[in-house]
Amino acid sequence: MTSSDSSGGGSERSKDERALREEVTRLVSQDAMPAADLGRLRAALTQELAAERGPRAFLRARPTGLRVLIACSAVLGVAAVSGFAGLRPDHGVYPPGRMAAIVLFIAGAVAVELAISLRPLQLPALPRWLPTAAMAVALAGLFVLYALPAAHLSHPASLHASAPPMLLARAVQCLAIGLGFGVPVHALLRALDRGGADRALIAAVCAGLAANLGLQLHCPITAPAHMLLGHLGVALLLLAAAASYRRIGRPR
Amino acid sequence: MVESPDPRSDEQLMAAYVDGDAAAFEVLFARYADVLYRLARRRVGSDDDARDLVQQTMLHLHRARHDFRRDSRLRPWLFTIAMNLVREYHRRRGRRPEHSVEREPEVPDPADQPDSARRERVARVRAALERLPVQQREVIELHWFEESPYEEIATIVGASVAAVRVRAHRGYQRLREILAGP
Repeated sequence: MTSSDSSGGGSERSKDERALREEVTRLVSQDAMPAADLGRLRAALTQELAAERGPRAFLRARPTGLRVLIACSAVLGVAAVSGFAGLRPDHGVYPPGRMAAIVLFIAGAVAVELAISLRPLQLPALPRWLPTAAMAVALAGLFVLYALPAAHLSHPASLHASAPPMLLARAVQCLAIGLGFGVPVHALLRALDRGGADRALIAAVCAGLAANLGLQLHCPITAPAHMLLGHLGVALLLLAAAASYRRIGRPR
Repeated sequence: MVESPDPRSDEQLMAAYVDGDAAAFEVLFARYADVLYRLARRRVGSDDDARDLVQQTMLHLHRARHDFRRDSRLRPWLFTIAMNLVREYHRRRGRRPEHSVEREPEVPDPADQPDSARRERVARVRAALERLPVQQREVIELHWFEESPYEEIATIVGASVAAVRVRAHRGYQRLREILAGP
């Protein structure tokens, strides 16, 4: 009996509960692992532990704070590479409020997705709906921000892809650049992940958001169709790829 | 293989493992494998799945070893990992944990073969437990079968102690109703 049982006092209900507990415990307490199975399990676990070698095993065994720091550094690295190496040419005329709204939204969404995807299993489970809701809010939020009327049309570089002939070509360029940002981030997040249901999907959305951050700082095209196709498309492609891979096989 | 009981606490063993003492992990395995197996076996469809969950739990403990704080307790850690893996097991199977799985037919122990009435009673109790809402069932199982105090269960399930007490009481009431029914 545990100390917490005393909370019920000596009431009738407490006695009744204790009697039911004893009966149910007696009836159910028949599951015991045979000694032979214990030995086999020990051998299998020893093999698994021996296989925990290499960079991936090293990364996922780091303390959670450090894993989060590494992942954040990767996202910031995308922003730094994109922003400093090829800052969008229209940054002088782009409305700062609009830019701040998009960058802050992406940063907030990345933080939430990272917290979910790197949450260690020794912490209580999050509500089942939360990871799905976080992914949906992130993608829907980006959709809304990108579907707003063009932020400005006052720079020649921003007008390249507003018409259909150039729309697809420019969108494909941004998809390629975005995947160049997103795929390595996704690979890193998977390497940092210790395993868990739906983590690959959340990591894919997180990597897609990181790529969108890079594109937002790099690409001067402001047409909503381009943003939706060439920028948001990166996150959707990564998510679709992760979902397809998960369907084919689920590595532990 | 560790034959004699190790006097060190779980937390001392875990700290030793983090410091590189591989034998300490074997002691923890020997100490908890059967407890984790029972915990898993009540919630999953087969012995194999239960053993696999024990293996995964210990593997995740290994992966999370550098997260272990020396002032924290190991047992809630292990149970939380196990419970999370059980939830993921059910999620992967696309079923709700509270209506988990058909159990395999039990093989009676020849030395203590239960009579049919007893077997029926066991099956009835197990079916009643499976009908409990998952939050109540988790608390009932941890408190009744693993003798975890409410404070520890609160840590494992991520709820307040008061909420855990309420779940335990409601679970008990519901279980009594189910068992009293036809």
